[in-house]
Amino acid sequence: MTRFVPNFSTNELLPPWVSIGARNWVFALKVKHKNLQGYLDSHFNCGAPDVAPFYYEAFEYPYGLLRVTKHDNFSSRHGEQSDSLGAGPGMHTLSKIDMNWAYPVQRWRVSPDNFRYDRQVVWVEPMAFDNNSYSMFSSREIWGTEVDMARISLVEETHPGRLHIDVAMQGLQTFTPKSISHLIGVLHIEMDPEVSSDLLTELEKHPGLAEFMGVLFSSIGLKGSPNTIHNSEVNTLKQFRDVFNMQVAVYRAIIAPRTNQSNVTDMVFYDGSKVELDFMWSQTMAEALNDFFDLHYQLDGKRSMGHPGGADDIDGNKVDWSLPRLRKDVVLAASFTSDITYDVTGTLHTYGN
Amino acid sequence: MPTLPELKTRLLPMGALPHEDARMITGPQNIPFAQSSSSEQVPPPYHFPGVTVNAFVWPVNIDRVQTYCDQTFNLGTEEERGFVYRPAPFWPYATLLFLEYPIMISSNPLPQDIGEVPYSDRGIISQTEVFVALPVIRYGTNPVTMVTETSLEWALPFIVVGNPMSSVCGREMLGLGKLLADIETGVGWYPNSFEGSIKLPGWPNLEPGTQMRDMEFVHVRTNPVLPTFRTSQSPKQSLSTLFESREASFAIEEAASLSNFVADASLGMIPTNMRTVGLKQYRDAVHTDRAVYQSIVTCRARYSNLDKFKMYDEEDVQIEFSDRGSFNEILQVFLDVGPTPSNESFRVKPIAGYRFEADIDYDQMRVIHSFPIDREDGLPPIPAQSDLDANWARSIKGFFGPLRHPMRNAE
Repeated sequence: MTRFVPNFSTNELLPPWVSIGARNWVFALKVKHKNLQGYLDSHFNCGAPDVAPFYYEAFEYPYGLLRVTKHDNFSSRHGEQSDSLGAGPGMHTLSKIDMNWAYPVQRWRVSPDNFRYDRQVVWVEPMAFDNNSYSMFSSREIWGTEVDMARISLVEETHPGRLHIDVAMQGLQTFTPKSISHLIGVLHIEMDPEVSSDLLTELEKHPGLAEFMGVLFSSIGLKGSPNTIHNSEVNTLKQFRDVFNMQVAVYRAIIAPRTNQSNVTDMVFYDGSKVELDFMWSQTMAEALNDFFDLHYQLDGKRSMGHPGGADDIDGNKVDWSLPRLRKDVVLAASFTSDITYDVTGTLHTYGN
Repeated sequence: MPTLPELKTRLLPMGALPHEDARMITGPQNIPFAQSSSSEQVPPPYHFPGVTVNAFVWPVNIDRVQTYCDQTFNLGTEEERGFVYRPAPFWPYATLLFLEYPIMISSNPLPQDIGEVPYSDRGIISQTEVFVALPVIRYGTNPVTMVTETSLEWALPFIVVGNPMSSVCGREMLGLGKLLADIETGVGWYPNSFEGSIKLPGWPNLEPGTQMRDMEFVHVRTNPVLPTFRTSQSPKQSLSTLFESREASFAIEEAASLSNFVADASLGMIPTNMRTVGLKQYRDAVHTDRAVYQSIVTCRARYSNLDKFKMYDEEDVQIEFSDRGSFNEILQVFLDVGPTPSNESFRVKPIAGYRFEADIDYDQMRVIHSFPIDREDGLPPIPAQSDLDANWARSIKGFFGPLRHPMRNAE
């Protein structure tokens, strides 16, 4: 066994992680099948140089979830199971907000004769942000999700009801040799959480949404539900670059983490058409917006600009919102509170052997 | 039918020993990295013009440096590695450096084929970086490698940056354990003085359930640069007067020459070629006490166009580290703090403080030693591999023995 050498800079939050009373906001977005499948082909289905014995296939229903989760009590339970080789005693608990773009896919096992069998539903997370550097490093270096550091504000108010989410990151508005990286807006969400809707009414509006929600519901456990096992497997591509060649990885593997949502309470659904969701276009975000959401912007195009309602700071940091605003329609929104457990079950395939 | 090891032995060049074969590149290779649309990692090498450096030097406990070397670089047995890291005996000091980079760009001339716009044309990052540097020497462990593979390097046991992209690149590509911090630098109370501080995420105490929060880790204050009338002592007592003395300057240069590393560092005061060394490693996702990759990586920070060198009166430099909660673990590496947090400030008494401006090129990234990796699930182990030649010996490598590691590193 090659022993990992722990020190303060690599004492990541070791899984399993537990978030108690996490506040979840999910926004179902309609995207093209090619956007769902494209990520699977570039990250899981291609040779690197060997091909993993799996084939990942997007569902026909064209939906994914933009998830924003506010964790007030996020901690590692690793030390309870074995001698901790990560953070020391007491260095386990933090609060944070994360956001990711995720959707369920079908993972087939592929035989040497190229027969597909053993279909399983797993989730993928092509895009993720976190506002806590400690958990960002843990997610990238253990879990395998390519999380970017962001400034995230989530304001949930009542009387009058208002949900306001802003996300910003270090980036470049346009790529030129003289552009200067700074804090730029990524996303803005605004809605009235007191205007709820009936789920069945919303499902009837959007073909395929009922099936999509079926997959979603199978992975969460409502409080009081007799069935307490509601694991949802996530597959990530964990990879690290060579020291000088950007195109070569020194390690690349498909990892199988899983999440378990339990004690789900306060489940409320909202009419997606009442949600304002705007992505802010920049050349830093351009490829992600194009590849994941089919959102485009031409530099000479005429679009809405800036943060609706004026520019906002996040955590006291000035954010540049003077960017083209690309509206993305939301088909359904939901909010709930839950306890979430995150764990890693195995390494499905290590490349290069 | 010969087995694979037998076949390998038969195919060895005449005169080559079997163990030399094990030092050629083996294990997984040519694994493409799946470039994500959202990835902001920038390819090396990097060019940083006009960097302002504020540096502070204090004596370090050599035993702590040796412990750091043993825990970080001297892994496995000396026979397996073929090298040993030890503190540099001629420079038993730690240096705290605040570096303000107005411009950071990729100077990679090669097409990366991962986007429409070359990285060097995409724009500029500016940030501040702070690190503690400890000079260490890598010694070869036999008479030949003692000559060709002995090299002065700088371990950076503590390094923080203000830019998330820089922290990710440092951690995942270069083997530097860069933490993300809020760093503030500027002029202190007096004109021409310096004040800098770092806020890091940490735990104020080690009680279970304690929430992480941002806490001040270190605060540095100086008086104006010398000469100044704002000193608490006679300026003639300052280290800067040493450099005004012809005899003392000569003695310093002689000592530097004797150390044989004059090209690498002017006694550690003003680096010209600062080769950093770090342990690049990743955890297994399930068995988190295991590494799936572990190697020693060196990089060269080449300082040029040095300008505006000024010294502070070291008696008026105040450096206060916070020995609070989880920060105690960090301080134990390079300060004489106790094994548990004192929850008080730990003051360091520097022997020198100075600042200068320079252009810095960060290049020559090399994996000098990959540690062997044992793997599960029927996967074959990955043997150790080395490319340990000292920088000066690389142009004549082959003279002292067979070429090794021919394709792994850039040159």
